[in-house]
Amino acid sequence: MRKTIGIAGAAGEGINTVQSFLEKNLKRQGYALISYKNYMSRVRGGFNYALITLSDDTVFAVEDKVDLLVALNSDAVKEAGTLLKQDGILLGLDVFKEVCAFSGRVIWVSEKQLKEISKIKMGIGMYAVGWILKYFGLSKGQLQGITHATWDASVQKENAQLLEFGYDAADGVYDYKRTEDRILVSGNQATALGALAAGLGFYAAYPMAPSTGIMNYLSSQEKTLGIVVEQVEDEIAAAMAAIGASTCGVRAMTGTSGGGFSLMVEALGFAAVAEVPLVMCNVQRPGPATGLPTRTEQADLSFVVNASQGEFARAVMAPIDVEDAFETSFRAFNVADQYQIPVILLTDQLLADTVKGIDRFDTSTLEVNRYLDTKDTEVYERYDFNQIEGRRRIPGLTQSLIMTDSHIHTSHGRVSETSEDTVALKHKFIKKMEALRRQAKPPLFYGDSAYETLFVCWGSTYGALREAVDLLNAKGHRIALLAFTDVYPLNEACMKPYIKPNIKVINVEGNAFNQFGKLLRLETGVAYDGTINRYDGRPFTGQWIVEAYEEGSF
Amino acid sequence: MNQIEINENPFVSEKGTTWCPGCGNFGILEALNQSLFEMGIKPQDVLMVSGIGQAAKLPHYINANGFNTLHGRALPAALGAHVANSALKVIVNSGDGDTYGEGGNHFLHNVRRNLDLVHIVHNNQVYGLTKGQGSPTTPLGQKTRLQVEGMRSDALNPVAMAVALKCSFVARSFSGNLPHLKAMIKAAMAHKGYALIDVLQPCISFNKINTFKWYKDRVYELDTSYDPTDENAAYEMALKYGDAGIPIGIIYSNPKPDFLSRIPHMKKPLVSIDRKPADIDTLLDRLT
Repeated sequence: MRKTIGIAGAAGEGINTVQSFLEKNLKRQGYALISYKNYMSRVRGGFNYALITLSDDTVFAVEDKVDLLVALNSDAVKEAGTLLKQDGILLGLDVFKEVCAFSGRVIWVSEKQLKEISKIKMGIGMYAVGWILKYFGLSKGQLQGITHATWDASVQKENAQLLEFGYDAADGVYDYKRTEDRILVSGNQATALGALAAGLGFYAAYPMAPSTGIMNYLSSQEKTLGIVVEQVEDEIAAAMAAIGASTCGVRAMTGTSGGGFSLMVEALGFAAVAEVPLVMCNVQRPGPATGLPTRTEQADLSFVVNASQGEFARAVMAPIDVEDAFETSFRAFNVADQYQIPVILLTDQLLADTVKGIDRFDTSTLEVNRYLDTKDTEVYERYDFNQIEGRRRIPGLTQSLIMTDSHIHTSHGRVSETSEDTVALKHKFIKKMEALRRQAKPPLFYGDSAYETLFVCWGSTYGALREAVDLLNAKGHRIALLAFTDVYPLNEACMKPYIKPNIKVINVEGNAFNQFGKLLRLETGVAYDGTINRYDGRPFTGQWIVEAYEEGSF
Repeated sequence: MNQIEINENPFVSEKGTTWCPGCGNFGILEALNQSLFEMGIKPQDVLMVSGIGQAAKLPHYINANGFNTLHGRALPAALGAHVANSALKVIVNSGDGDTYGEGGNHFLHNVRRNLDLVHIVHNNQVYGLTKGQGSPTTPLGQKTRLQVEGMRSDALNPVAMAVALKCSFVARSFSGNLPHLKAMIKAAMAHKGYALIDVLQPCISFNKINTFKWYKDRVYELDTSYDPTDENAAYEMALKYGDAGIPIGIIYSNPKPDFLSRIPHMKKPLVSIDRKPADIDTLLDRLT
């Protein structure tokens, strides 16, 4: 069973509220689900919709056509024909009947009756929540938990009546119950939780869509976990403040989108030469410049791999789904401490705003390693050129005086212009890169082991691509995929186990220039035979990839 | 101070500097060395933060923990360092271009935060490291190596700006007056909150107008009857600059809660908090 719910309307009409009630309650009922927000960069108005795909099995991406559409206004009723599957169901207000071009089943909700129950503007939203929850097998008693912190008693009462009105009108179709311990978490939250599990103490950032969710979530946990989240004056300050905290021994992070990352670039190089561990998250949105603020793209890879003047060691990690966002964010801190380098987490709006019901994160298996030197001898070389791993002492915690410096420096951090120190630092960076290549996480393989076509992707494209592989293999194709989380540096041999004679390698990524495909060729020598790209600001879906594959002449 | 006493001072570095002989920076370094020593502070408990420029080289010339960051960026780095370990006394040294030009935005906002640090601005009204361009504090019309027809922008008055920002401690001093500068540093160290000391100093290589003599002839110490807590009087005093005389001393004092005091859940330095992955289990409970 796989069903997709759409909630469409204008910003400010309650899409988020309806979405959140449905997600929480369907997840509690035991459904696996994943959701995505398709919204415009505005606070009020426009045409936005949220998609929730649910299943009795694991689900990796939202579908682009919906089975149930909640239309919150007349524009949404007008769009019903394009959003709904042919056998789908539309829930709309009867006053918009004349604009409806959808030929399938429609549940016309009487606006007059809604108004009799409640004067609140968007009564249909709560009606739809009741209707849909019954459709998916929830008992009437389960409606009682549906409430919102901002509702007073009278609003609560009216909303309960609207819920019940919708519930009573619906067919109960599914009755699905599972008792697994699932949590409902977004990509941005998973990134934040991974950092907190790693011992994050300080987060500095400047608000920027679609990264702000990380800061919001961390800020809401400030008191609970005794951390500090500071909204700073700009992204330069964000990165520098994180470096300052890390220099003094606290795990620190900053997050932004591409435009803010542009401002952080000088700090990126500083962290590298000063050998200060730093985790930076770039939640990509389409650029250049202001681009499409609330939409998605994977077009910052070449930028973050090459950002900054000079040469130095860095790692770039692009989580492939919500679960991986947690694991990778956690791991980024250990790697940053291990080699005292900047680690860039490269996510995107699709992953950031995807909400997924997933197995609870198991914190008992996680191991934090700070790679610190707590010895208290007076002689200490902060920048020992022969050590690429750890041995970091923190200013103020031992008797050693520590110099942290942005120049080429001596092993004690004193400004140096000698050829020997310049070369020694270069060699240290080279050794760090070699170590990072060796320990880079291999790509995830999924699909037909006797594949004739091998899709290659990175980051959030994995979910839709996995759905596409299943759809295509069901049609008789022989396809597998590789999904990369550790995208830079790459292990030169990482493709060896997968390259066979007479297979085609198809590069699939959310940009127009095939940035990862080219990086893969540069680092491993493996060239792609064809490409599937999406770069209209919208996320890949399984069906979209299937159509692109079938239309392509691969 | 005689040679024996200097050798006892743990802050004094034996390593040479790259400053020009006669640079005003030497006076500031000497005042810092003596003040910190006389206050009984240990080098291990001090973090000298700087950006880039001639003044910003100072952390390399003093025995203490050092943090030599990027041009204009000393303050945000200091913010992170201070939040991480408030047991370290943060002293920022930076020039007029570093602080008021490249780092202007950070200056505004960290004064607003009232970070507990001492900020010594080596203000010689010219860019030294890049050899003689005008700085934000170079007067309108003054000719420089770059601005050969004279500066086209009005000069910034950093002391007046800091008073307008209600900075909690604002002082002006002169690198050629060691006892005065030491007194200012000690008062700033004792102050809880953002303590700005704008130190007038000659650049013997690139500023031929605002010379040692130019400053010497103009600076005068504030009268003991002056009340630095009077905001309006402070603003008036801050505006006095030029041929009619330049007052030095504590121009403005406005005690108020510092940044960390405004975060009540921060009971001890962040660096001393033990964390483990299971800390997030209570957060996960709320996501079910």
